[in-house]
Amino acid sequence: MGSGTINFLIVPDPIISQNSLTIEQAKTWYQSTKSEPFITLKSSKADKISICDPDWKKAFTSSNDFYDVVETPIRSQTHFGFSTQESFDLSKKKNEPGYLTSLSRFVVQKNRVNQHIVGFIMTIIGETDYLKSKKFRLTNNSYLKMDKDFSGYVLYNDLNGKFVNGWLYKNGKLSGKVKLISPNQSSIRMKSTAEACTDVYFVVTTTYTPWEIENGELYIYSSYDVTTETYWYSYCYNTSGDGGYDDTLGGDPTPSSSAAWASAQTSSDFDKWPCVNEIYYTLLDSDVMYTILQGFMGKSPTAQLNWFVDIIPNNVNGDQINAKTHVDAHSTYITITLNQNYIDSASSISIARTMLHEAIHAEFTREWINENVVPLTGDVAKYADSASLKDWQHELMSQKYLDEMKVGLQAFDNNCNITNRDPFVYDALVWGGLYYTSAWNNLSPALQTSYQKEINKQQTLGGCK
Amino acid sequence: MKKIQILSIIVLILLSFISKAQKPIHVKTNNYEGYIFSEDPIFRLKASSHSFIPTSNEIETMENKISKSIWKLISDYEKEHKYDHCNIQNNLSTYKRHYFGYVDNGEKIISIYFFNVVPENWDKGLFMIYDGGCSYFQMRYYMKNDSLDLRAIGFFP
Repeated sequence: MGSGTINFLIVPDPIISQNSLTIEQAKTWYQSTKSEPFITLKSSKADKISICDPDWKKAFTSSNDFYDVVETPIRSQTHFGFSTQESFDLSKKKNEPGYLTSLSRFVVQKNRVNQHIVGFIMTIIGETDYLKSKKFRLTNNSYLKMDKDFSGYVLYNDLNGKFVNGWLYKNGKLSGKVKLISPNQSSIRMKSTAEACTDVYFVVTTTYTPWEIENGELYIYSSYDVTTETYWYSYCYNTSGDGGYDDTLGGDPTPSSSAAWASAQTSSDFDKWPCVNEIYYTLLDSDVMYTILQGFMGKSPTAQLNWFVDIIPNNVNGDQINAKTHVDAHSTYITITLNQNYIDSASSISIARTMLHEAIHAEFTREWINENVVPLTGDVAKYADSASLKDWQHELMSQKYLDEMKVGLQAFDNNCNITNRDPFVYDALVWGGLYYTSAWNNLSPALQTSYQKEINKQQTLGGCK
Repeated sequence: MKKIQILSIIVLILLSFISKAQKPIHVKTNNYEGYIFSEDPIFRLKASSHSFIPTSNEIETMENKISKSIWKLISDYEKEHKYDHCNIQNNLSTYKRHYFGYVDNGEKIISIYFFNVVPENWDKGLFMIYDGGCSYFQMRYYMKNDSLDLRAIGFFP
């Protein structure tokens, strides 16, 4: 990997502060946390495994008002480097391996407020001009202190190698959030999303050196094998955040950011349904779903959602079921199934409304099941424990949260560059799924009829129109 | 005396263990089929409550009551909610059941989940469905008063 090697690092001067996390403590934490002594990196393409571990001898500490940090280089038996496509092309053209340089470090971070400790891998990828201006050295950057003129990306992976979150920097300033996407998703993202966010992919060049351990001795062979892989991400110009690792996945069950929640707690099989996939990712990427769930519960959502499309049989009288939410305490995930017949005929705003509605059921129910662990509070406690309410979830939605749903649907439209929709459509749609509740029954028959007419119209307007 | 006390404690612990380890009990007649669950994490019990396992006789008594009361229960529910889409009355035997018994303030209650779309692992544990339409509904049976309470019918999402 040439100058991109992670084995020769210049350690920046530590920021002298009252650091309550020592290198020894970080090492102890790491050893007690990992079930295996090494971090294992596995190539998805070449099916080759590389074993890494922190180089504690070169560890250093730093602090700010919020965190105490221990950072170490990573010792690896393979060399790997992330580069932008531009840098990768230049590397080949100019035969300069320096363009393939990236910097990965192992970081242990202790939260000064709640004392929570988390470990993760930070990877710094410089933009081409920045790399060139620094003579391909990234070592002036550390977790709490980036170069004043750093332009590039910082990606965070957990200790199992799973991408968690990332940031885009321009001239030392945070400029956007980075999210992992898959190549097939990149081509079907909504136009508006694509305008707000830009797809980018990194070429990961890995040099594999065969090795084996015999009688406790490590034998490294002189032959090597270089492979490249491409990973797609997108960055969005949204600077809310601190540029750090999303400290919500390594033990805190309630991710405090939309990206972390979406990454850790939602999955779908929408690949065959591009239109639904667009709606789904718009709801996630625009933070609409997260915000709605957070608004309902007053805290970060906890439900793990698994989304499917399937044919749901009609009711006995022939009425169509749009979707259903299946909660089974023996499964970690709550399954939400959208009816294929419904998505084939409904408008995107109708489908978005249905998805939000089902996600709220999931979140309410997860809270309810968890009640023995975390006592219910607020409206959920009041409604769930009511002996007289036969359908407390719909009653709660219809009496307390119509406005939030309306705002959420408007935000969804805004993300699709739809700003001229008749407000009546939102007024009507938020009642979807809430027929027969007390609040619905208190509406005038004329209003009920007009709302139902609009809801029915949106259900048959056609896919994603 | 002390020996008896110790023996009683051991018996209680063993009974408690046996109760917790109880597998779902399958009940099937010409009119209904379901599973009785003695414990399930999805069923949120208050700290002051505890579960019990209804006998097959108790289930039969309750099912007879359901069979006799279903028309009125549905009619009352529809009046209250202005909801008239389901024809549960004529299809009651097509619904499978999950039964869960619990004691609340000294009163024995059986919660019943009805469903006519049956997932593969329906014998493994309770599940809840939201927005499944007429295919799902819930009841509670209060044993002391021999009374029933029809809970939510899956609304349309």
